[in-house]
Amino acid sequence: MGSLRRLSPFISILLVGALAGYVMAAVIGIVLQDNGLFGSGESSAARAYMLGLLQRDPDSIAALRPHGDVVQRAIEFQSAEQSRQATMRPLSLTYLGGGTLGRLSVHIYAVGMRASNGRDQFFPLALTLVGGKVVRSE
Amino acid sequence: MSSTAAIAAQQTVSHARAWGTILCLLVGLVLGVVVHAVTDQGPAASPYPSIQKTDEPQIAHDVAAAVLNDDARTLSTQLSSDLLKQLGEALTPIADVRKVQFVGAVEDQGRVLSAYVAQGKSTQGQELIVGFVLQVRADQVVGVN
Repeated sequence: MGSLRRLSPFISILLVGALAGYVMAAVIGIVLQDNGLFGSGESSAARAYMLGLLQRDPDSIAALRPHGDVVQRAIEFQSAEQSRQATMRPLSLTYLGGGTLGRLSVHIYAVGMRASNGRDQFFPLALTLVGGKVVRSE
Repeated sequence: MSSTAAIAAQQTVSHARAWGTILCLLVGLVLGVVVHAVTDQGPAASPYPSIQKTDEPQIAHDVAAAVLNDDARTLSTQLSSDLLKQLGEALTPIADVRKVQFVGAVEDQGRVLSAYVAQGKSTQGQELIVGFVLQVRADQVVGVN
């Protein structure tokens, strides 16, 4: 018990150091990634939103949108349900690039889809994110 | 023990504690970084293949340059009225474009999607960025976003 009491300040310092190291690594990682200095610069939230769109997962999409009013969320659920009933099959998802300005970031994708009649579509989608939430997609 | 020896022994213990503290902090920092590296996986893996990127089409480069240089006359000769409206909507709410950066392009069945990020100020003076894509086929811009 005595030795544990003698070691406890060092254990506390170890834990504080670990917490500081974790937070530092997270902050540096975000800065490097958003500036394209490490990795592609693609945001995890943007990728998750695109996968949610292609896989027609309204819960994933809603989780990545700002907490809007109940009517707006109902419209989004309806839209996701309608697209689930459509028979478009995703063929490809390509991250083209993006940019960051403070809390604002833009991420642009190219999506390939195939309709049930065999016709292929290839179109872009630009996502605007604020604080990790998708506020605009076109 | 003489007082000199006692003081020396105390100083030795103090130095050892100080070094022990610094060592614990450094080991903790390294541990925190390692834990973050292991737990932070980055963007989720995509089950869909991605297309290899291609070069920026010259006509798309010229349009982006006209936007950046505030060259309305050149822009009016490059795009149809419908495409100009689409470009205007894509750049909204930016009114004063300060920077246009090409970020990537892909081609599929003869159609190239050339993506840009524009930075500038809104009419309220707010600094903003937007993304837009010029769709190019046979050296002509055929669509915006």
